[in-house]
Amino acid sequence: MDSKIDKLNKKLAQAHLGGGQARIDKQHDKKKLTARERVAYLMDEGSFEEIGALVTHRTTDFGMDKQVFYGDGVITGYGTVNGRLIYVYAQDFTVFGGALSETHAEKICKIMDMAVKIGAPIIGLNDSGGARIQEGVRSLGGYADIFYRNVQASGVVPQISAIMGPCAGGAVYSPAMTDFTIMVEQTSYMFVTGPNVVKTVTNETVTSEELGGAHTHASKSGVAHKTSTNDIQCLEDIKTLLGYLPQNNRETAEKLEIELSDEVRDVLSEIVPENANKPYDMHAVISGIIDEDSFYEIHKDYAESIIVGFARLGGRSIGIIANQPMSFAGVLGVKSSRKAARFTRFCDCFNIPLLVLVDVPGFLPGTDQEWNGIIVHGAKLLYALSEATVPRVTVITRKAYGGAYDVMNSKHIGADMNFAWPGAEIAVMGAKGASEIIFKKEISNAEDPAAKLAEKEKEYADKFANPYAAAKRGFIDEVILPKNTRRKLLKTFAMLEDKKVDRPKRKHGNIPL
Amino acid sequence: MNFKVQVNSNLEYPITSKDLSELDAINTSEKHYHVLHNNQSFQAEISSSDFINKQYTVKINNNTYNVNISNALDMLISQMGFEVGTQKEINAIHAPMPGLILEINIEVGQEVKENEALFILEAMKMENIITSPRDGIIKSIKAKHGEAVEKKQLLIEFE
Repeated sequence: MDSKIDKLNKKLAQAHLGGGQARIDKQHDKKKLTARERVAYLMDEGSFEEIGALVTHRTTDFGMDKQVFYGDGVITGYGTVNGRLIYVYAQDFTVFGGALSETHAEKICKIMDMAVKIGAPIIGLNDSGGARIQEGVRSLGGYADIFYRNVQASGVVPQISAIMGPCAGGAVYSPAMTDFTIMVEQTSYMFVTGPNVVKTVTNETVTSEELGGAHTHASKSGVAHKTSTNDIQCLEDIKTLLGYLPQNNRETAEKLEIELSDEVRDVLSEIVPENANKPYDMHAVISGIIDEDSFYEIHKDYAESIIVGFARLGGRSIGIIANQPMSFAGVLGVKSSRKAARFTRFCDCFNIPLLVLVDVPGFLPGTDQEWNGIIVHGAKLLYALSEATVPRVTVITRKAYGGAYDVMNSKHIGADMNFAWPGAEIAVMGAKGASEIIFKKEISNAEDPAAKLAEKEKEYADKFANPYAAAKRGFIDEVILPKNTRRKLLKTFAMLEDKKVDRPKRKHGNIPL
Repeated sequence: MNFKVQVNSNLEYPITSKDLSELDAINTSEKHYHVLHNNQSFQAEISSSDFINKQYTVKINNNTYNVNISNALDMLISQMGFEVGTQKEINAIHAPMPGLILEINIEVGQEVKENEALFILEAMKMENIITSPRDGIIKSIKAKHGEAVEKKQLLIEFE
């Protein structure tokens, strides 16, 4: 019996070493932890249980039968993060450069199936050179098996991808279909085709970092939702993010215990400047409303004219969407509409209530925007919000002009409660632009057109540049003092807690993709 | 398993699983231990414990010690220089969006504080105040008053 136990121990020790000490050292030299170290750091100490440590590949071509490693380049299993069950897979770059084989994919699919059955989040730590070329179409099939499961799990359990090394070719589509992608700066990159192919096809010279590094995807493409300075920061970011999410779509996120007092926040009264042409930082409004230091921003460096992220309000996890007057006056464009629409849909999938803070001058004009389809992209946000059945609350802090007023969670598209601050201007457009159109003749015929314009501008502003025309109609439920906003929202979200909406049965809607 | 135990931030001891299994310690109450080591008797009390950060305060024969335990992974992480919460130092300011420089409030060589207004960039009819991301001294100003700038154009460098 002892010899049998020895045999097992020997195999497990081999599995633990992955591709061997030399390759582990090489991984460390590249400022990367190994897959096993990453999993150990991510999970609560001692909680990780491995599944399939002794799996090996079945390929015999090209001398592959001589190169066999236990685990086959990926570590899979489950454990707890802050006490909650989580499934994880971590690609092991020390074994075949983390290349994906048929068996490697089978291991990932196995834990994905379990995660969906049991209802717990899936974390993927990606660090792979791509498909295992020696296996041909079987490795491609492996990718597709994972993609298919990503889609089946979408909206059922949260899926988070960390890119902690290369992720190229077909491999990129799995992270793209998960809910959040976090990239490690300097050591990771993602692209469909690498710099060499780009050079031959389009004759562009570009480095991997420029083409698909963390910074590129966080600011230009929006593929990355967040970047982290190093491996452990990335794993910490995943843990923090998980704190805002429920285990699956049948549950709600954990509500933290918090002691409340009168919750009046005077600081909120001083943020919006008197002059409508002076911007302010919407982050200040957010932090004035939410529980202290609880904002977790998503897509911080992408489409900055809108802010999205998770926060806690009275201990409850909420999603926030807010126009940012400091960037392009908070205008809605192609990218900002898509960013907010995607975030809205995530929150709606996982029962996270939405707070929308509005200061929007309208949609961004221009050929660039029109030719890139601002009509369809803007429609995405309109569609996503109209469709969302989670509690939805709006606060208009200043401008809500034109079609953007409708889109930004207006009463008309199903928002539950709509508040406005006393300085809010809810109108088709700014007073100046409106007067120029309505009183065009009168102004051009006047002796002093500038004075006439100013007079008409004031007339229009008095009539419409306020929240009261909307409040009169009930489009705004209540005009509130800024300092009372947190207090009101605490009550509102508590009141909406048990909101239930039944939609007519259909296969699925047709969001303008 | 190997551990490194740091005591009062100036003493370090390596400890192995074998050392732990050979330790003669008896749990006398929830927080108290009686330890026999090298034929000497010690009274130990765990006065505070932070399991996640592996930090403990231990009272032995009425002397208090702060103890910090690192496992192999913790040692590797500190050896690789990884830290949580680090941010890159910002040495330059680029235009956050295209616009017109309306006002420049600083001069080369001037010392600025964090959040101090540096210049005003007009974009989308809004006067955006660009503030300093950190304390520092202005090394150069690359934009002129009244200049139209592109997104990401270099505006200011810090020393």
